[in-house]
Amino acid sequence: MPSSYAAGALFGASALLCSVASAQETVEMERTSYARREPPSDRSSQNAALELRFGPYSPKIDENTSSPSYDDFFGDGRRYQFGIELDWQFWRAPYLGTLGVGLGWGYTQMSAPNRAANIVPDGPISQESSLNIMPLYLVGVFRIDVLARNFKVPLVPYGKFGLAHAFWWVNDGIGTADNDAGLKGKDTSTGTQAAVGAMFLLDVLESSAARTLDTEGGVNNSYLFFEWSMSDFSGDQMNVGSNNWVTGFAFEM
Amino acid sequence: VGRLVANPIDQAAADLTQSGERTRFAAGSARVGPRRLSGVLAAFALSCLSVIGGGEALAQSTAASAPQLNENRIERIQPYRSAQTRRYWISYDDCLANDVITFPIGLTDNSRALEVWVGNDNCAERRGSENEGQCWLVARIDSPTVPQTDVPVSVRAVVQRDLNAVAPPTNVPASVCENNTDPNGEKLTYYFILEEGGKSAASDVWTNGDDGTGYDLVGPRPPGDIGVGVGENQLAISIGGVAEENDRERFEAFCVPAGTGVASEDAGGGDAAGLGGAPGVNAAGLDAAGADAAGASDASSAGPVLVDQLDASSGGLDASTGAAPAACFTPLLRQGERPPNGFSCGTANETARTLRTGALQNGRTYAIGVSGQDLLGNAGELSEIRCGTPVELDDFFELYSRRGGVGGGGFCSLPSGPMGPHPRSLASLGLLVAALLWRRSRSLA
Repeated sequence: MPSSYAAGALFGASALLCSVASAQETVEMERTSYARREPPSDRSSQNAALELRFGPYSPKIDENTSSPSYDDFFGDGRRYQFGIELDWQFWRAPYLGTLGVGLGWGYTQMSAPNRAANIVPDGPISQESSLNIMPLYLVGVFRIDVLARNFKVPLVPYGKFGLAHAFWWVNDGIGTADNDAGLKGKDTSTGTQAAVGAMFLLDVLESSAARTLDTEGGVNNSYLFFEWSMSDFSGDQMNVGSNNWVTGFAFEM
Repeated sequence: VGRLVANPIDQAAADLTQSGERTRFAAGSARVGPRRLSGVLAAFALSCLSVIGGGEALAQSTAASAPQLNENRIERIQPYRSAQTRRYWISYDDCLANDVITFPIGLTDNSRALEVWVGNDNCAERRGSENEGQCWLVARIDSPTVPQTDVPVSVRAVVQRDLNAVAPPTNVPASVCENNTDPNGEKLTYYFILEEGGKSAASDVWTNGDDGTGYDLVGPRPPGDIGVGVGENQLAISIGGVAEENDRERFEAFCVPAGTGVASEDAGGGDAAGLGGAPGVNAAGLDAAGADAAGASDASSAGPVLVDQLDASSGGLDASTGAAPAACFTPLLRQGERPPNGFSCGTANETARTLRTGALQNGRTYAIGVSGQDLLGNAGELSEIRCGTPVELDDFFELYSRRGGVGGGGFCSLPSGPMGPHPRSLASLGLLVAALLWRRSRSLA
């Protein structure tokens, strides 16, 4: 990881902690004042969101090479990623929605047989390379839930933007791959993460069950979401970012 | 642990079903507790018998004290099983090596010959009777020493299973190791008998508890179908057609370079094929190919075959013979025969269906066979023989690097080239921090 990135991340994390600490002190005050303006609610407090994520993943590796290597090796078949994201909704914007900080993790793997270097093998190649990508990201998340809360429209549009840091490693079928120069095929890439999407409020389908879930489990809202996710790791590193749709379930708690 | 049981007075009380216990038989003695008193009580019982039954018992000068096996000091030449199971079972390799198991026997007098019988019947009862059942004599010491006699027992004598032998067999040939074909082997009991007048005067019995003892010379059946996939410095063997078998512990692959053993009776077997030059071959255990392989092939009657004996038009021996295909022919591997020593190139557990070999040499063609292996390490018959040639392969990272891709070196490595922070990374970080600072200032206000 470049030192400049590390310094930036450290600075960002420190600032985030300071801000979060002060914000925490005023959350209750905000909630109280907001509650005075909102319709009465019998719901439990809402502080976080959990997303279970799934979607295709097409890394932009070939953008950083002189000729396609990813498509050439792994083909253009669709690969999938699963992940999880946890948001802390530290501020509710009056009459608009929530602002939070989200920490996400994902994982994907793709495999394909290695290529014969110079000769035609006398049998099928059974040794495979596998590329493993595990992105982590820290994003700011803004969810506009005023439509669902005040106007009975069960849709919550949202946006995310932040930093991403991805671990990747290549296994050559025996162990960690290395190239002709003896460099190990594992590293990290740093870049950005952004997303726009919308969540459909599932509570409207079974409101009594949703209320029970809130009362007994503390789950305020359940959603089915669909988003367009963008991550980019361009620069002198393997660009394991991907632009793709992601779907899954989200729970506000 | 042991019990003293009258013999023949109380033979019926000898309960051999209690496997794992050493059972001791003493002539003319009643069952007693402390071992020190056994002699006194035996003498007392004998006196009573002499009064009741007349003078016949008086003919015996002294009552025989039962021999006592010291289980903790049993030794064998061959190494014990690494898994610490079936320590005293006899495997095919033990038999070929003519292993000897030495039993330390404690004795109180040396007036009688000490015999070792094995079997799956009550050999202590049967000794000297008309029908000695499934018992056979494996060792005898005419003049044992006191207080202890070490009795060496040749495993081949055990395996030979000569029910009619009146004397312990000597110089049993290695061919006896091929006789037994039961894949589950045979569980046996050892009897250490003080012989007197052709009958058992006293005895000790050893079954080795739950682990048991006996011999098992045959490995499990091979997979019905194998396939060979190509790798770099390795081959991947797919295992199919696997029949249920309780005795199977793992699969083992055997890789023999094509041509090994062909027209090379005077050239040292595998060495003639240039095994020594194969990088990494040592790791697969192929380095020891030469002499070991020759010996094993002799034992399995798969002797060297000369090239000019092969039918060139058909590309080698007929497939029905189980020989390796012509493209990788070697007489050392033949379907249905035991695998040769020194050519093991990988193992996989019993449930695996893919076996990756150890390091092999790229560009060299190997004959490949797979056999099952049991707990004792007995290798079963070889599967059909296939050919495989490892070749140099390019993995994804090699391809990526050659096409200008950068990165790599480890998770904590520094970039190899000049690299600055990406503008978007800084922008997003700045935005995040700004939003939080704004939020903080607003909260304070």
